[in-house]
Amino acid sequence: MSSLPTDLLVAKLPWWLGYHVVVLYAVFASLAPFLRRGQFAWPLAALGCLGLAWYHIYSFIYDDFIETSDGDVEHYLNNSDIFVNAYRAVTSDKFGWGWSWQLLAWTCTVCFRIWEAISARQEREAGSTKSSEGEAKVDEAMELPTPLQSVWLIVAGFFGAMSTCGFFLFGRISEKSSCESLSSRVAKLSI
Amino acid sequence: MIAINDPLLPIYLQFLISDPFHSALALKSSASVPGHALFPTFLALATILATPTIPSDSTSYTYNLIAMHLLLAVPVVAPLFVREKRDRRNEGAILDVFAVYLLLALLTFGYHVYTSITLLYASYWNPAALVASLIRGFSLNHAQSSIASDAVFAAVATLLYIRANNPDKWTKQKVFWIANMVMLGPAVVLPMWFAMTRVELSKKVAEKPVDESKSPSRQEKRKVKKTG
Repeated sequence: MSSLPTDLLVAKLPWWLGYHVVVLYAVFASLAPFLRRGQFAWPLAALGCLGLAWYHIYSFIYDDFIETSDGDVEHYLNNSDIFVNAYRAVTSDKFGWGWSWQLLAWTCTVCFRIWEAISARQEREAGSTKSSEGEAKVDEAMELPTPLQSVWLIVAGFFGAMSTCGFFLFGRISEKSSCESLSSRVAKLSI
Repeated sequence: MIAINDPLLPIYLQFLISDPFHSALALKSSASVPGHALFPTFLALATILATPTIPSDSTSYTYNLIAMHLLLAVPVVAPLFVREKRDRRNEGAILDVFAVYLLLALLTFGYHVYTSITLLYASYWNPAALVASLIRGFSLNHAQSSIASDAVFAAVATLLYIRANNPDKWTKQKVFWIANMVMLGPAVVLPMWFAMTRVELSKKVAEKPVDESKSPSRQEKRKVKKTG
């Protein structure tokens, strides 16, 4: 095993730290609304998923390092692409892909659902400026994520674990809150 | 699990298509989900399903992965820059959101059938061998364990969400949803449930009488016209 290339590690360190800071901030930003309301079940499940996913991610990086670099840190840091290697590992086997595609396709629906939640919130906010009745709805709309909060949700999902994003999202939204404004508009049509 | 599912495919197809489709037609909507939410969603699904068909040592494999993540992020990031216009998403937006979920459910269902048959063929049409291979596939390597356990948690999160939003019906329907989750997986069940929820909502709206205290009735409108 070669000695640790200090310069290279120092060069990579900001990226490594930056990645973790961004993910942890995204998780904290997604966690904050639950803490304000004193709800802990959904966030605890989300954090559990994140912990398990990261355990496997670090174990994979270690295994990948052992397999592809023969213990040469410098070679590994210069030549490996962990992101692509991880996807190769989950798509190469037919039976493994049987699990993998389920999560990836589920993510598709979750992303569209986030868009629906944002649009429902924006519609309510727009409606609230027109009537006093809308003011009450704004409070309820705060349950739905803002566009920026949704970005943090998806950062936590993409760079952390997608089920973490799912638990955070499902703990915040409800079908009623997202569909109410739509149903009221359809009701107006039927008048 | 998937083997048990195969004889039930016609039932699922009928279940997915018939009722929601007729309810959707009854609403006669003309509005649509905006393109920045609609197209990236389906293009992302296309990149996901194309992933195993692209040689993993080619550059197009990497580009496909990048495109997949960018497309998935577009519907979430776009509202930062584009405010959803009420007039464009106005009339009957439920139908269109419903249609997206229904299409997602049908596409993922179709791919699930294809995957099931492929895996069953690889297991020499032996369901027990298929289940054993799927269990082995769960923990082929740490990356696989990570994504497979994430898929299981996604299934749990989906079931909890269904339960939380349907507490009255859950006791009667829990066996149905859990069985569906085991046989179809979260990728199919989540959009299927979203589509069904919107159909139920549209039915309630159609059945709901107009609140006379807030808006004038048709008779009142006619009276106003006559007197006016």
